Amino acid sequence: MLLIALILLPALAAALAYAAPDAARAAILVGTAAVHLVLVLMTWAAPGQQALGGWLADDDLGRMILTLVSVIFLAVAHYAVCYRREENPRGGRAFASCMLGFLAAATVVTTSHHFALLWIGLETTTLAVAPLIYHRHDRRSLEAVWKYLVVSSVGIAFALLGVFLLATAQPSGATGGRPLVLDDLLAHAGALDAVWLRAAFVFMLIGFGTKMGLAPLHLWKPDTYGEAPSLVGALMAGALTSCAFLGLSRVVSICYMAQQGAFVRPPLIGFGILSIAIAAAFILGQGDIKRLLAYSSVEHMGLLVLGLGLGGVGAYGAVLHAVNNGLAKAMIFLVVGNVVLATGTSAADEIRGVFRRLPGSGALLVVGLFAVTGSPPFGMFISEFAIINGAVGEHHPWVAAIVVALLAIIFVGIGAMILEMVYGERAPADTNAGGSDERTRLVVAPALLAVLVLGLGVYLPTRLIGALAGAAATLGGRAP
Amino acid sequence: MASMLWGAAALVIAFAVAAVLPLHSVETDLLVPVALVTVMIGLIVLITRSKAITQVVGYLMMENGIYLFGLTQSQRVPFLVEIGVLLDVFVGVFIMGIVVFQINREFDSLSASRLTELHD
Repeated sequence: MLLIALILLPALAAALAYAAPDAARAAILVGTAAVHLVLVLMTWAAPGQQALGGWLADDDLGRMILTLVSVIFLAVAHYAVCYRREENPRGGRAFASCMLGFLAAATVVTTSHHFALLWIGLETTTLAVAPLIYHRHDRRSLEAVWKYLVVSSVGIAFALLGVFLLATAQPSGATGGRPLVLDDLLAHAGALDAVWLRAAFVFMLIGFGTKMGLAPLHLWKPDTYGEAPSLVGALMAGALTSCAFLGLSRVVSICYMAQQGAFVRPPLIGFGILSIAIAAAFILGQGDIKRLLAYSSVEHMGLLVLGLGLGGVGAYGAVLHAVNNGLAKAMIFLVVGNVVLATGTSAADEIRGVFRRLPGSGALLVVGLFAVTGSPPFGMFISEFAIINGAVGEHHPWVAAIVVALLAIIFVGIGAMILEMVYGERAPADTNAGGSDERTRLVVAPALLAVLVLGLGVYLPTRLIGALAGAAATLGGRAP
Repeated sequence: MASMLWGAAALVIAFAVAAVLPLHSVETDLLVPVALVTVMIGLIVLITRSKAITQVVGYLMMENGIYLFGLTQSQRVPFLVEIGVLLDVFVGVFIMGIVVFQINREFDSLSASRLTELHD
């Protein structure tokens, strides 16, 4: 019942927000987000719920990603309402509805234990985000949304083919269990046809990998994140990619259970290292802060699949990293949104002296720099360390060495750009006579997310550790 | 001409791949290769054509191929799920249609090759 309410609430609110007058829309958006988060926290109190005959079910991994999505959405919703007071964009009516529709679809993805239902949810998140990208209604955002739609649609079509292939791998009758239901696939994993399962894995890796933005399937990502409003970037880099990661994790867990680890691990590790390497190459010499963050997202998606492929402590690290990365990416995108609002550009050379003009955002930008590059004491440090630890523990020392070297390069690249923006001398074109342009209400949401990222680095609650260990166990891993 | 050669190559690949993917539940041997070749030709159309509207057609051809394969599982995938998938594809093409309309209005052309402003 709770699970159905979690999906219906934002879906109905999306329809309501479209019909409601302007003044009520902000309240609907933030109110729905807050109630959704409360309902999500209630699932932590009563885990293991089921609905629709087991098609929707609660498990450790899904609940964690659901909580992540809900927290990010509340922050982004609050930010969006405050942002609209500064810059009134066109199509505000559809904007709130698309955001709420995205929340409903993401909830379907995170709670569904039926692969076709998961696919429907993921495709709906893709479509719900598209109008948000084309928000500025100019040529550049038109190009971004076109590339996003074509590449994502093709990717997600491959994932659909993977779902049908997975259904083919399942024997009919009592030996196979209910078609495409995750729990039955896991319980009868030994009966799955190995050839069809491998084909299903390949297509789902390509499909969900495109949605995650793994190199070389990441080509839509810099363009889309660069042109979309920053708060949409926060929603996509924080929540949407995590949902795609969940889809991939589901099929990987079946492959591990069916003893296909030897087939599954090499492509996952390969995609992981390639993504980190390509991100490092494009982060150096990048001229746009939002495109830089897009490549940083490619890097972290690479770390996630690397952890999945390594297994052991690496799988634990990957799940924790999904949570940390989602919070940190959402936070830094919102801060960059403040910077872009004040300066009118996201080109890094034209932004100087952020700390002087926007003291709060400048400080948070430096915090975000250390958070997204995985420096201690932030949460990303622990999860990146667990993934590298997993590489050593599972006898891939060269993987650990390459990843550490690439992470160092990425740290230098991101650090050089952001520190220059924050502390650099005034740009020649800067006509601002000094004084602060800060809007306090726009700092609230990213500041709270920063507190969460820092908190997860200092202290992991016992309940969360238990859920992480449970999620890692389904992915062939274990807690350290 | 080049596209036709690509298509012929896709046909050969589809039959070669289908040979290692035996389907026990269906009478005919042709279903799997035909589905695969439809997906691949859709992909070729999508990649090689420059008009935005033709790219949408390529996407639809891909979806047709996938759905053709889905026929083999039609007794096991419930009706409501199929409707959900179809609805998503419909809305997806609908949104693509809106974007194609905007491209035509903005550039006075249906060519997606005009979209070249974004790069590193």
